[in-house]
Amino acid sequence: MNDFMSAGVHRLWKDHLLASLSLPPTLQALSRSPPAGSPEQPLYAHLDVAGGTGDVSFRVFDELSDCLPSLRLPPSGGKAPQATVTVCDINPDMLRVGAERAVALYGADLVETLDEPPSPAKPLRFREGNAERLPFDPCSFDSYTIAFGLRNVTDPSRALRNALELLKPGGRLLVLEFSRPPNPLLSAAYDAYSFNVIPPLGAAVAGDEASYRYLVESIRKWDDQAQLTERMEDAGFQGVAHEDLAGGIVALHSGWKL
Amino acid sequence: MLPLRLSCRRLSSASALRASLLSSGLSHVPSLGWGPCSLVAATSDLGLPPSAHTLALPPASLAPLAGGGRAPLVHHHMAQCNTKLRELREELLPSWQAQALPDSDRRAHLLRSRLLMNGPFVLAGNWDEAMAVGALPPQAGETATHLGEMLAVVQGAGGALSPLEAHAERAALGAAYVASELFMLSDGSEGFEDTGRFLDERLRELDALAAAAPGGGGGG
Repeated sequence: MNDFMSAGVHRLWKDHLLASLSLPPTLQALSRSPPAGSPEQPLYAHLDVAGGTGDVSFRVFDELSDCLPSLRLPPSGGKAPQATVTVCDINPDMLRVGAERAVALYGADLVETLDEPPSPAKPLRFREGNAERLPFDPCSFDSYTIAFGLRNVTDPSRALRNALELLKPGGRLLVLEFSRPPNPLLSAAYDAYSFNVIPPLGAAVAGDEASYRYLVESIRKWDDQAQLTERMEDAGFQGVAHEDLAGGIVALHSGWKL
Repeated sequence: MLPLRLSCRRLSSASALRASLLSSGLSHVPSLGWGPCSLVAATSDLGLPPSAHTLALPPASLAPLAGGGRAPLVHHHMAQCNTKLRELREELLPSWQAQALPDSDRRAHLLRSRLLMNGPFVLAGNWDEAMAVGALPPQAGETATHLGEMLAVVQGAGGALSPLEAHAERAALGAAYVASELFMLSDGSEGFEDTGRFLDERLRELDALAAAAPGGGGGG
């Protein structure tokens, strides 16, 4: 349904999100000069929230393993992986779908599914959690992404404050979310498409017009670019900036924990 | 090297940190190039984790057609050079005025000084890359702004001109500068002396053209 609604463009938005992390030079530097600390700690830890089916996290894992090929090797001797990607979602069913896809793609040796005990040696982990209070230690992650999920959180500001806690100093939050096109012509065309095409498409493809009508209405009620920037700054993020994608239909916001 | 679990200490504000990252990143460009690797090296200088280099790297700059993450350092270099050039002009103006140095000599001195600021990158063999990034369509506007500011600094060393004369002079000086910048790419002479001579030749040609134009009397 995402492919139908966005004509497949949502994949490009997620590719752009990945590119924004600029992982290769970071990992190059970390591999050359690992940070001081316990050898059980990975060089890089990424958290993807509300990404149960793995769209964003698989992209991150692929990029990390391109830079760190050992990530694709079966863990041996209980040694910690060089990098980890943790996928967190409030919906265990979505997580199970994502974990199944991950096992099919990467093998069970590399994936810690929802229904098994924590396995520190596995680099790709699926964990259930509420974005407002995720079950991780403070200062645990180098980057945190949330794609098309923040507007569905009951208290998005609380989720942002929690994100800040979980990031290490210097760490970065990336929020990919629907927004408002600043151009009035595009905005009118987008409204027409959203209210007149998406609900019937939802009925035809997914058999659920009501949910897609709710989706469109929830997007309209959500923050625009400036409002989300203010929300992130209020949560404590600094250097908050955004980039409009697809004329502002979607925006990529980023902020740093400094 | 940083411990992985840091206490949440306060660091400087985002803009100041971004500026520090870019300035420190420039010192690594001769060895690491204009891309994100120089910014990552800068994080080490500033005691930050490598991932913090993205603070100086707008996502829009990462696309290959936008320069692959190289534009921020290129434009920061141009902005820094404009600041240094302005300071140099202010430092030299009193003595130039005392000596009644002709405007043409003042402009030549400033343009030569500005060209030499690119020297470390020319010697490292990556100034051509910077020029190419600056000329990319998504970056051309900002590049033109920095060039315009540079030329305004150079023109500010001379006497007042009418708006039309100032505009024509700015275009001419810009052309001489860019031509000299290209010449410099293959200049192996000591201290880029050949580039200095090339620039002087171009400026003499422009002065001759201005003097030969109807009503023209040269710019001094």
